[in-house]
This record gives sequence, C-alpha cells and structure tokens, in this order.
Amino acid sequence: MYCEFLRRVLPIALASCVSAAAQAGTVLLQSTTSTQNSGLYDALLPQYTAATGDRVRVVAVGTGQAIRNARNCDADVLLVHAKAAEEAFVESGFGRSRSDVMYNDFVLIGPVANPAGIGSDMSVSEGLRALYDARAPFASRGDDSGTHKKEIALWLGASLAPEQHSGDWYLETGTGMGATLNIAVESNAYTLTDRATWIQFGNKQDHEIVLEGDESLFNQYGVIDVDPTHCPNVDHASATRFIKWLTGEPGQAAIAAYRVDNQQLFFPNAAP
Amino acid sequence: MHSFSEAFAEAASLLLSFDPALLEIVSLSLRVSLLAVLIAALIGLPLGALLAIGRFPGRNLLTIVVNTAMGLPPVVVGLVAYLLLSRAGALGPLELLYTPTAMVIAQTVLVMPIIAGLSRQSFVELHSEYREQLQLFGLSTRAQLKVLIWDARYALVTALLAGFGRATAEVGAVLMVGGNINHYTRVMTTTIAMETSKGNLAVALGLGMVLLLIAFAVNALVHSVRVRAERAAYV
Amino acid sequence: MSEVLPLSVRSLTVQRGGKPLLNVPDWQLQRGESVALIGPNGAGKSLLLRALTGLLDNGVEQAVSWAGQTPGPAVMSRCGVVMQQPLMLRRSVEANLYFALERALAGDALKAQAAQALHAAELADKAAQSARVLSGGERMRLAVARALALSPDCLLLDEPTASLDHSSARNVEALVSGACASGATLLLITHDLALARRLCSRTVLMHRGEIIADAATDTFFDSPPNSQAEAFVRGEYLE
Ligand SMILES: Nc1ncnc2c1ncn2[C@@H]1O[C@H](COP(=O)(O)OP(=O)(O)OP(=O)(O)O)[C@@H](O)[C@H]1O
Ligand SMILES: [Mg+2]
Repeated sequence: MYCEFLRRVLPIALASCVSAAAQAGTVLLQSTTSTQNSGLYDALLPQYTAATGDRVRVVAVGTGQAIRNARNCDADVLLVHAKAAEEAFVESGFGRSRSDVMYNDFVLIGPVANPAGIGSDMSVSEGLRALYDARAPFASRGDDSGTHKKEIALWLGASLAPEQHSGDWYLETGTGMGATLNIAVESNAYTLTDRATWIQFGNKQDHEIVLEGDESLFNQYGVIDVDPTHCPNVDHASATRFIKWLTGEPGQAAIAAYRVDNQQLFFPNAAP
Repeated sequence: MHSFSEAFAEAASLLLSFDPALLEIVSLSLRVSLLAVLIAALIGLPLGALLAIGRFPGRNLLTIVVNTAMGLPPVVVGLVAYLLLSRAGALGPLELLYTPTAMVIAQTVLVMPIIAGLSRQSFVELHSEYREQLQLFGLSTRAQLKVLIWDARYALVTALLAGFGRATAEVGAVLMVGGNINHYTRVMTTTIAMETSKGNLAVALGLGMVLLLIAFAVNALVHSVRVRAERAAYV
Repeated sequence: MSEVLPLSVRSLTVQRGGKPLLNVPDWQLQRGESVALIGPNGAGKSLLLRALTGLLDNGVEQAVSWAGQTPGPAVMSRCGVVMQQPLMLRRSVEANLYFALERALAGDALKAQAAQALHAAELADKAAQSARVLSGGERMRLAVARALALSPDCLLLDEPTASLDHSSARNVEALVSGACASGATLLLITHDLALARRLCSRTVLMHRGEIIADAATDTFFDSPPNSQAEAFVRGEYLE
C-alpha cells in the first residue's frame, strides 16, 4: 500500500524538480576547467544561444576525465586540449571528427624568489633541468589532464624522470588546475599552467610567470563531435551546429574578442 | 592576505546585493536538498520504524547495513550514481545525468540512511517506553505506529534536519552527477569548490558563510518550534 | 461486540533463569465478579496480571483464555487496565484521555466525555498540563480515569490506591465501585485488605507464584480457608 503511494509520489516529486532531461537544442559539452574558469564560456555561450536558440551546458573536468565521460556517451561535444588523445578518441570511433578551435600557451610559474634560478631566456628543457637539479618543489597535476599530459611530454623532452622523486620535491596533487595552483602557492612550488587560468587566478600571492614563450609550450584546443553511431543518444544535429558556429566566423571572432585585464586569453585558429 | 574580514565583507555584499546569480544558486541548492530530504523521509522514516518495531528475518543485518550507510562517502555515491545514470550505464536511457534530478537522486541515497538510522533510534527508545501501554490499549500494530510517529515527531524532525544538513553541505556527489553546469546544476557547494579552484578564496568563503547562514536559519526555526513544545512540557 | 468473559487460566507457568515465578494450574474469573488479588510483595500478582493481559511472550498467552480468545487487541480493547506504574503518553493530561476515548468517540462527544472523566478524577484544573509532570497520586487517578473512560467489560487494576492520600483513595474507590455497579467485572490487586473487603466478593491469595487460597471474601476473612490465609489475614509472615 505504501509502496503504491511511493510509486505515485516519487515521479511527481522528481518531475517537479526543475525541467526534465535535456530538451532538443541543448548541447552537452564536456570540457576542461581551464576554459571554464577563464570565463570564456560565460562570454561565448550567450552569444551562441542568442544566435541559434540552442543552449549549451558545460561540464568542466580534466581533459582525461572529459574524454572518459564522452566515451560513456555523456557528452554531445568534447572540447579539450590534448591533441594525441583527441585523435585517438576519433580513431577508436568515439568521435566523428576533430577540428582545431583555438590556442594559447602554457607558462611555468614559480615563487618570485625563484630558488631554482630559472631564467626567462632559458628553453623549457633548460628550465626544467635547473628545477630538477635544484630539487625545487614542483606541483604536478597528476590527473591525466591536458596540462598533465603536456607536462609529461616536456619532462620527456628534457630527458628527465621526475616521478622517481614523487613525494619528495615532485608533488603529484591529483587534482584540478585551481587546486594545484593553490597548493603550489602555499608550498612555494613551481607548476605548469595555461596562461588563461593563470591570468584569471585570484590567489597568486608571491608567484609569477618564470618561463614562457618557448615553442613547445604551445597549447592547442580541439573540438570533437561525439559519434552518433557509437552513442545513439547524442544530439548530433545540435552538436554539429555548435561546432560549425564555434569554428566558423562568428565563433572565432567571439573567441578573439574575449579579454581579461585587457589581455587576450585564447587565439582562434580553426581551419577556414 | 586572504583574511576572514575580506570574506565577511564578501559574504555581506553577496547577501545585500541580492545578486540574481547567487539567488539562483541558493534556490537550486534548497530545492534539490529539500526534495531529496522529502523523498528520503518518505522511504527512511517507514524503514526506521520497520527496523525498530518490525520482527522479520534479516532485521539485524539490515540495521547494520543502514547504520553503515549513514556514513557513505559522497564521492562513492556520486561515482556509483554516475555509472548508473551515464548514457552508457544501466539507467542511461532515462537521460538523467547532469540534471538536477540526478543530484536529487544522489542526495537521496546519501540522506536516506541518515534519516532511517536516526529515526530508528528514536522509535526504539519511544517504543520500549510505550510498547506495553499501547498493547494494553488494545491497539493494532498500525495504530501503535501512528502513536509512535506522532509522539516522536520532534526527534523525527531532528533526523530530517540532520539529513538536510548533510544534503546541503555535500559536494562530491552532486559535482559528479550534476556537473556544476552554470544556470542548471550549479549549487552552493559546487560553486564554492569552483571559486576555490579559481583562487577566489574570499568569494568561496563568502559563499560558505551564506551556506552556514541558511543552515543556521533552518536550525533556529526548528529549534524554536521545539522549544515551544518543550515549554508546554509534552516531551 | 464479542464477549471476553469468563476468563480462564490453565497450566500457566512462567520461569526466569530456571526459577519458577508463576504456577497457576487452573483458575477462573466469571463475568460480573469482583475479585481481590492479595499477597505479599513479590508473590507474583503483577506478573499474573501481565500474563493475563498478554504482555508476557514465550507462548504464555496460550494458557490464558478470554472466552476462548488469547489476549490480543480484540480482548484488550474491552479491558481497562491500570498497571502498578502506569505509563502516561508524552502528551497533556487531556490528550491522554482523548487517546483512550478516540477508539469509540469523536468530536464533541469525545470532549464532553473527557471533561466529565477529568472532573470525576478531580483533574479538571490540570487538563492542559503535561501528564508527565503529574504527581504519583494524580497520575494514578488519571490512569484509573483513562481505564474507565470507555466503560470496559473488565477492569484489571494493580494497586490503584497504593500511593493515594485518603481523599483520593476514596475518590478512586468510588469510581471503581461505580463501574462494578454498572456491570464491570473487576480484578483488583491490593495490599489494602479493608478495601478488598469493601469492593470485592471474592478474594484470592497468592504466594511464591501460586494461588494458595481462593474463597468468597466474607469466608476468607471471617474463617480463612487454610492456615496460610489465616496467617496473612492476621498480618503474619508467610512461610
Ligand atoms: N522479568 C523477570 N525476570 C526475573 N524475575 C522477575 C521478572 N519479572 C518479575 N520477576 C520476579 O517475580 C516475582 C513476582 O513479581 P511481581 O511483580 O509479580 O510481584 P507482586 O506480587 O506484584 O509484588 P508487589 O506487591 O511488590 O507489587 C518477583 O520476585 C520479581 O522479582
Ligand atoms: Mg506488583
């Protein structure tokens, strides 16, 4: 009897809880915390909604997790920054096609005192070597994110293996960019981050950019539509509409126009 | 540096400005948590009563399970709920992941054992006191239950409050199944986590204070009702 | 409404930890009787009452038959019971009465009946206060009023005058004898032998869990049926 009551009440209760599942014309975008925290989507998405009527819902997690979620079909569109992993995603049939959207760059930040003596004229490999030799604390994302993947590639490029010092001066935080930055700031550590996140970060204390501008610090963002043959539930029409806008003239212009403190955070570079 | 006074100022300005974004977040937090507590109560209170009064095989085991579940780690609940609600999961066709409904479900799972466990405790105490007298009145089990529910009502409300506190304070599960989507599934706790990760510590702490204030207001309300009842000395 | 009397007990035994607490091979209570149950402390009077009302489990209720029924909701709703330490619900004095009356009455009839019962129990001025802060005597009066509220077929009272002052005791006695006069069957546990003589037509003596004497009250007190009853009536210790 009570079960009957529950069976009647529960659906009503749940349904009353705001609008139900995604309606048509709603794009679920799995993306990275860096793009979200930079405020880019807050500037971009209202323009898209105004132009098309479609809504975009952003779930911001690390690149690795975003890709995993998209593999589970919990995304219509994927916008991340780890080109090799993105191409593998498409290769394995989870995504239909990948396009470049925009880029910015990574920067190495560290305490103003700069105990490792990293010079702004150094290459990334030289900088990391100085850091390694000085055993200066370095906070690594350690979370399989785009930034983490990039960091691993940079150490590899410098022929260094810091993981063997994990827990000593090499600190694997296993958390997002913001949390890792907070940890770096509090423990006087260096860390790698993308420029957009750093510019927006509110708790810099006595940390600053110690190394930037190296070619290998290039940070490319790509967008992928999740393959509807693999995930029949995705809203592929809305997904392609969004990607077309983002990589097209209006989206690219909007990206270029987004500024924080008069600095441009992302540089559009979609193939025309 | 990130001083508390700065956070107080932030909290005050957040509150006084009636910032629509803040109101949206607060109202979603309250709606999700209240609904979760309501559903959890519909299941948890009868379950608590059943565990306290019922006689059936497996009752002790079920009691231990419920008591254990009172301390369920939110991230584990979030993870399991994610795996179930994901489009690749068993409940995928319902398309519930990254919706407020998913958050309600996760919070219900977290809160239901708390309500069941605490209400069971209250029912056990009152039942051991009332049992014989109610039997002497010649009441059926069902009628006895009604008396117990009524006379334990303040303790039961306290159990609901504990559940509500847990629901509003929880971040791990709602983040995982809600996704912290702006204007859709962003609640107080996920906003606090996000602002912290942006390094906006004062804003985060300010929001935390708003959250505390809400919890305080709810508790004050219930406490005053309770005190009035106790003054009438019916407890 | 089905009849609950006569009450009969057959082969009733209760043991705790190997110690026999109650052993009643055969005993009856007829409809319309008023019976006093007396005996020293620890004799098993209260325990017998608990057995009769179905509060003891382990199959004890099988030995008790209320006109063919074991003690359960159907029987108990026709009985008015006051235990030695009556329990009050966590409610007001009035609400405790309402609670008993609700099974049969509603609305104005319920209110009127409750007010009348409170008045009879001399508790009218305490109606709105918590039943949990009543004095021992007030609590007992309320318990008796509550038991009598629905004019039960059978009254089972465990020392209802034990903690009462003289006037309250007379008040309760009047309530009980009134109920008997209007046909209720009475089982009264008491240490007040004078009260037993005034209210009851039959007296039962218990000792060490057994019924050792059972006779018409006049006989019991004037020419006790055995030496133990004689000793008890004279106020001596029982062996
Ligand atoms: N659950 C129990 N376990 C063990 N012993 C018990 C239990 N219940 C009652 N007794 C014992 O049974 C005996 C009879 O108790 P009971 O309460 O019936 O006495 P009584 O005749 O009502 O005495 P009084 O006049 O003091 O009220 C006592 O010795 C008591 O200690
Ligand atoms: Mg007794």
